[in-house]
Amino acid sequence: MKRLASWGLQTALGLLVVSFAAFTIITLMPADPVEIAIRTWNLPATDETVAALRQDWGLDRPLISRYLRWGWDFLHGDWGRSFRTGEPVLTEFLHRLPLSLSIGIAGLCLALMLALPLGFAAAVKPGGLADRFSRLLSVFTQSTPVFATGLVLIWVFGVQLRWIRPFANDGASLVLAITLVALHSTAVLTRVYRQSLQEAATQPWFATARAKGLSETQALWRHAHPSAFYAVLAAVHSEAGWVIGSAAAMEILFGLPGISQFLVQSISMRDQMVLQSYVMVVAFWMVSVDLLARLIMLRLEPRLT
Amino acid sequence: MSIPFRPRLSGALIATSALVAVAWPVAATEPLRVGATFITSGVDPAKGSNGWALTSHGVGENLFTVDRQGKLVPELAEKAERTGELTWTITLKAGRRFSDGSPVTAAALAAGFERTFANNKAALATGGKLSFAAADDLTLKVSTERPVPLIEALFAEWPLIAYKPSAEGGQAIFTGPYEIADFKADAALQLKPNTHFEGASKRASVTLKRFGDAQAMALAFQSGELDLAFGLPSEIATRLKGDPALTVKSFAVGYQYFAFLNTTRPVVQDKSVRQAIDLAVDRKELAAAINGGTPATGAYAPYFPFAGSQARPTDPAKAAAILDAAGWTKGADGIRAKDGKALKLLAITYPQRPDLVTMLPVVKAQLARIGIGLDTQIVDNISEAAASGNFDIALWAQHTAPSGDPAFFLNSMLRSGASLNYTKYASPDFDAIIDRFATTGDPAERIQIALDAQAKLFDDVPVSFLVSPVWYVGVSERLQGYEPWGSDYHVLRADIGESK
Amino acid sequence: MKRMPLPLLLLALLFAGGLWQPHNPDAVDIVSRHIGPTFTHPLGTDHLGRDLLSRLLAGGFRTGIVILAVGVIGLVGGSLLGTLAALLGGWREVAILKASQMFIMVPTLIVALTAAAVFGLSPLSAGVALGLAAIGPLTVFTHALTRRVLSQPFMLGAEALGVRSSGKLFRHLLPNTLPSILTYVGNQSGSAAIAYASLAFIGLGADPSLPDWGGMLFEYRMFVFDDPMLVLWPTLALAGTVFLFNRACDR
Repeated sequence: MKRLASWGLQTALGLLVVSFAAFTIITLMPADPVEIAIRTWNLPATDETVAALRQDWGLDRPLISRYLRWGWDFLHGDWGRSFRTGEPVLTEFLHRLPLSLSIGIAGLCLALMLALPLGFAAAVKPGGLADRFSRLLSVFTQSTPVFATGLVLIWVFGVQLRWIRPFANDGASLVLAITLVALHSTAVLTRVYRQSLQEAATQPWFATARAKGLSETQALWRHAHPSAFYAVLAAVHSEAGWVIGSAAAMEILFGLPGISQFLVQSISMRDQMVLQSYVMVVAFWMVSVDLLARLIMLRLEPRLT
Repeated sequence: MSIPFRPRLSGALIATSALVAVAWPVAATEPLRVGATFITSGVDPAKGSNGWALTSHGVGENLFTVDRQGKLVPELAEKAERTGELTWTITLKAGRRFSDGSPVTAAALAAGFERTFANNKAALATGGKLSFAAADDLTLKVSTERPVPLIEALFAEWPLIAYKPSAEGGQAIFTGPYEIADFKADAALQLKPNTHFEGASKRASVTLKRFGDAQAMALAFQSGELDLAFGLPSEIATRLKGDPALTVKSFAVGYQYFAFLNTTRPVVQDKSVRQAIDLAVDRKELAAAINGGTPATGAYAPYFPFAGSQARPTDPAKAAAILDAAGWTKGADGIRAKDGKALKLLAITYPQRPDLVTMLPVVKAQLARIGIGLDTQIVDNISEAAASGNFDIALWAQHTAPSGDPAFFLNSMLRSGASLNYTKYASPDFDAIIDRFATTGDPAERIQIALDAQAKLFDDVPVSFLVSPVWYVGVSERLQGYEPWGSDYHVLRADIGESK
Repeated sequence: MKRMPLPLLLLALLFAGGLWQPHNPDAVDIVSRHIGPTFTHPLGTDHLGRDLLSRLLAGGFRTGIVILAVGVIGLVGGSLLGTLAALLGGWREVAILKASQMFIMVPTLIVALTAAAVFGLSPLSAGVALGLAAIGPLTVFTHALTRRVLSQPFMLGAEALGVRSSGKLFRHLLPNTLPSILTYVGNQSGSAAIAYASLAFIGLGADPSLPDWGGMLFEYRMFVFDDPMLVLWPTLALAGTVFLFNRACDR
């Protein structure tokens, strides 16, 4: 409980630092959003227009006061307005988040579901089919970018077999995107799980358990699994960051209207509130996955946390 | 901290599938599924090129428009009469309604136009700043800043979409066959039939999906995802020949593909460099690369009476000679240099016109043949990039006679100081030529003015005309009757040709 | 240290491909587009008649720059910070670690994407951005590793003998930590090649006419129907490079 509180404090501090760093960097990016807006919309470039836009967007105030104002509004559910579309950023994100989140969450969950049986089978029979398959998967996903695999799958399922309808924004292309995202994490988590299981199997207490008459499989499940699962949860955190990146590539490849697609379109306009909100959403995502993993770990092994 | 944990993930999975279900509700009636590479950037009709986009989406209308034969015809207006050098009286059609059911009145339209003229400089190109007054419900008094011989053409220009601004900063209200049900920036536009537009009951709602590029749209069309795919890449036509469910139609468009040459950049401001570029591009090769179209004859598509009659010449040897004479000599790496400065230019274009993206590396290779090096860039927001002036060459697609008249393009994009004059071309002689447009409404004379203006452009080369393209539109069986016309100014329209 | 030549050899091969190609990779030849493998075009040509092999070779050079930049920046920054943190201890250790963890909070690809939008995407800009982003995890990794080595008997012994100066500590420490660090850096650089391909595929700030493998995949993805080899070759080149690089670093 105490550790969790200290974790919460540290995380809050981390979010604060990340938000401020992002705010500063985005503000200091070269190219002025007002000039860009005037050119894009072909507005009359009078001093009045410029001043009005600056005031409208709050660009006329000093950085710190803008940051504080932003932070206050952000916490109260006002994420500002997009310079580009004029719509509230929060609304736009709420439109797009379900898609991005479902890719991320489902991808991670699917990976966990696949990794545990696969990793266990691999540990039970090293060099067996499961072991070789998981190694192959690991080599493959580490060396092939997810969008290249995606292209091939689109070709096979969408055009050759016509099982799915690519770019339809329907369930099928979502499933494809999720599977692609999950592949990499499956490979990583399987290897982590298998390795920890095997490590545990070399410990003296494991031999004791075997001596008590448990079969290798039973001993692995009862005595090695908890610590190995713990290692998997620890690895989930780093995978969470990877998932965001590949979800972005998936949104571009399949043309899915998620938050990363929005980011790519907003960067060139220096759409500050959108960029800032994106960073915050990503940071929250990382923190939430971390928190979830920690809670589960705490539950599993209160002493270790 | 007593959150019960079960080592099963079913809970998380159910939550996930619930999320998925929320994200993708199943529609009750089947809307028409339309794909395009462009979508309005917002619902404010006065901003940027939204006026054009909203008209193209079938949401907005103009007072006058160009019909499928290329003729200027009344749309919301009934007629226009000149009452003085700078004043006109426009009579509106009776009985037309906005999508909120209120009648289309002169006062409502006047408020919309005033707003557009205050906020969009592109509206000023032909007549300067216009002012409006409603004499009665159906009579609109217009006064122009400059004399305008053909006010009908001015009101057919794309910035002048007709609308009623809303009071409290909300959305503007339009008159077209469709109204906006939902707008997702950069992604999709949901349209429903405007119930106050004739024949609404026969019209299906429409889902307009924006594709980041035409290739992805082609894949979607091929897999049966779209009823109408507007602006398909040309390769698809041959590939889809065997599929009875899908038809690809091609049509000549009023668009021209050309290259703006930035006359203020250190190297390109040299006229001889611009002439060399113009001579070096092989237009036949460009047309072949995009599988369609003909070498450009000038500023206009060849079917217009004011278009040039001969394809622009290609002569790399002459281009090289011009560069030699100007002191640009070839170095060891094949790139020319003068005074130690390499002849390396920045060329930009944009993904919304996939043909231009295909042409870009071809132009690069062609210029490399005469020793001009090219950095290339694809920018999402071309009007911004072009207005920033940070380019040497900008490949561009433009409908050069959207109102059936040659003047608007020249006035808005090449007149000295014009708001869309991205090349910063400033020639008093050229301005004098196009000033003559303001003095005559006689078609034959206007043709001559347009030809004179083009001759001047060929000589000064602020812009190098490249290809008069052919476009491809894919339709499903449901939209067999769809006939593409009017380039992309009227993609969705009242008579969309749906078979029941 | 015997393992280093193999990855270096691979890098050298990539760079050699950038120095010589059979054809100009940008030269367009509309007449001979989409031709299959011939003697003059061993891998055929693309939709504009450009020689695919030449484009792949030129793309390899660009990928090599990314791998090198990420490797060098990550190696120097990460191992230095991680080792320092472990040696210094106290609040400085905590500060360095906390800072690195904060770096990890923002995913690498997002950092690189933003950098590409602002500075344009080139192998060097991407390499620097990805390299800087790799410092965070590397610092954490090096720190943990160094702590483990420091707690081993021979290091404790060295300390007991009065080896206090940091120079000597480094001399005892580095030979024990460096091999693992190099393996880790090698894998990071391998994934950096993938990340660079993703960036080029997304295309933000890139020069699309330059033959980046990721950019080629984006440009050619439409031809997966008529000319699937156009997609297959860049995929193979990328996967092969990363695979070999990872294997070479692993042993």
